[in-house]
Amino acid sequence: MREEENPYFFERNPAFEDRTAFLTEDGFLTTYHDLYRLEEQILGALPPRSLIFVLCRNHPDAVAGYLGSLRFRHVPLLLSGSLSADKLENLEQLYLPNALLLPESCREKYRTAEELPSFAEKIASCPVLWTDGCYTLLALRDAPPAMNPSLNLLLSTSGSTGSPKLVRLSAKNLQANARSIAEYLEITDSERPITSLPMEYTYGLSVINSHMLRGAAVLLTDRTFTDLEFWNFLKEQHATSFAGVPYSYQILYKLGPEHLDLSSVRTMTQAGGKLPQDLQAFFGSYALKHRIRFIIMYGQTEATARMSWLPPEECLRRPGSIGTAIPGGSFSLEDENGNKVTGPQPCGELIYRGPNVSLGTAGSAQDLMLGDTRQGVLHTGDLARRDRDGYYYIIGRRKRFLKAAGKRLSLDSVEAILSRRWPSAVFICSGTDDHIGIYPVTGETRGTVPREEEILRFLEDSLRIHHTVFYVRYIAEIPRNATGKILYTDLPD
Amino acid sequence: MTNLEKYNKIFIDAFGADPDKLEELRYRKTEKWDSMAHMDLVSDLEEKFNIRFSTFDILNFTTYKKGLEIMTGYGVDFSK
Repeated sequence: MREEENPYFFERNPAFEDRTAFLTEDGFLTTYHDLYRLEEQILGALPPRSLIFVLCRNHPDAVAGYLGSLRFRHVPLLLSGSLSADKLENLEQLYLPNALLLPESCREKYRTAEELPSFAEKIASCPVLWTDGCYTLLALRDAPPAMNPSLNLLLSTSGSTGSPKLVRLSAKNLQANARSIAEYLEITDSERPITSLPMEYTYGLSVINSHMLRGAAVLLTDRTFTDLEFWNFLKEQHATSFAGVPYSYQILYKLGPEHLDLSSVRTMTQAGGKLPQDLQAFFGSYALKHRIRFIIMYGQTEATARMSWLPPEECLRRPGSIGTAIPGGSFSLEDENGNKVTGPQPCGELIYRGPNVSLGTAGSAQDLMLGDTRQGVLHTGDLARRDRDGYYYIIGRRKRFLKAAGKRLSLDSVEAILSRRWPSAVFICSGTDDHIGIYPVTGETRGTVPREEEILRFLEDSLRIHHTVFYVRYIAEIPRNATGKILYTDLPD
Repeated sequence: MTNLEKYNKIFIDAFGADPDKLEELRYRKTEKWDSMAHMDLVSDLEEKFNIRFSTFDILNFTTYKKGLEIMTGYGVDFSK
């Protein structure tokens, strides 16, 4: 297709002007025309190629700040609206943004952050470039840092933890992924997705991008599956789709979708980690019965958002599958030496190629000068297998496989044997070759937690690996990010 | 332990709450009472009191006080 037939989703599109872009819970309606004007108002006073930190809520101002930044070729970094003052300060010192768009409530919180008086003073004294009482744009510096012309968006991979590692994305990455998603989900301008995930999270953001591309209306809310208001909003505004991570579907299962009014819903998508197979079967059957498309997908921020999708008609037939590569992308499998794995049922590291593969990562302001360091190829770090029909299945993180006393061992399998031995206890495992941490989770264990000696003796006996390879650290709770993913890197050594 | 003490203890343990300020606890207002903590709280109460909440009650359980009313509806007697 020719480029002019596909303007970037964040560009002003005259054909959309009168259409609804956003609806909020309080009944506030923003047309695309209003959206374009709001973008101009928020960002009009900024110097070219600004680096803008955006503290996100699923609010029209935040989405307009993000889309407008792309439209005017600034570079936004999307961060959680609940980021603590110290984490924001740390990122701010590392990346040197010249502007900060944040909710008024956050500005108040940071302005009075007693533990960080210098940061509080800085926020309090920054010139206000724009405000509407909900959101405010502050000028942090006179000039932005130097940035590569291909850079258009920065995302964090870890949500609210404030990790300094960022993914560098181009407008082409974003457009390519939005187009692929809109194609395989068959998104039209009559869709009305409800935001069930935060917009700073790549999966939540991809819902907005792919629907903006087609001129659809997005129902914006910060509420989620545990809120009565979420389900009321969905029902009253006739939401046609929602997105969920495995944890969202666990909640939905517990609530019982039969007891909720989902009559307007036509599509449910799942990504952000492997859905337990019993839930795949449950929601696959539920969807079939209610003529809903239930679509399992796989992706990473490093690939903008999506890399694969499982067509809904395959859901019940292929438990555990992430499907096949999205339109415009392709998968292959590689062994440890980087050679392509073939054969009838191959297994290896999953490699993705496509126009949505990010430019690379960044660790500080200097890295924002970098160009495309990935060249369209992403080593996902996931081990996968492919079935005879070409569908892929994730086996686990490559890092979750290591060598212990010369043997190849999966940390997930160590967790599994511990859970079988002590069913009422919860364990997680992490570590490196010959140095494997066992973390019994005391806060989530019913009854007594096994003693260190018991655990070590059991592992030595059952795995036939000397007990000194293992160490035991008791933790109160599992460190997780906002979407429920376990943060192994946050475990004590 | 009385039913009320049992109920209170679950909140104190879950949110590190001050025993004198339990009535102030609100879903999404109390810092630790987020979506994830909410589902844990609900499961914990179901297990300790041997009840099963309806969909509406899980979603309507938004304060410490509302919880008392909802639990009473399941036959939990807080005077014992």
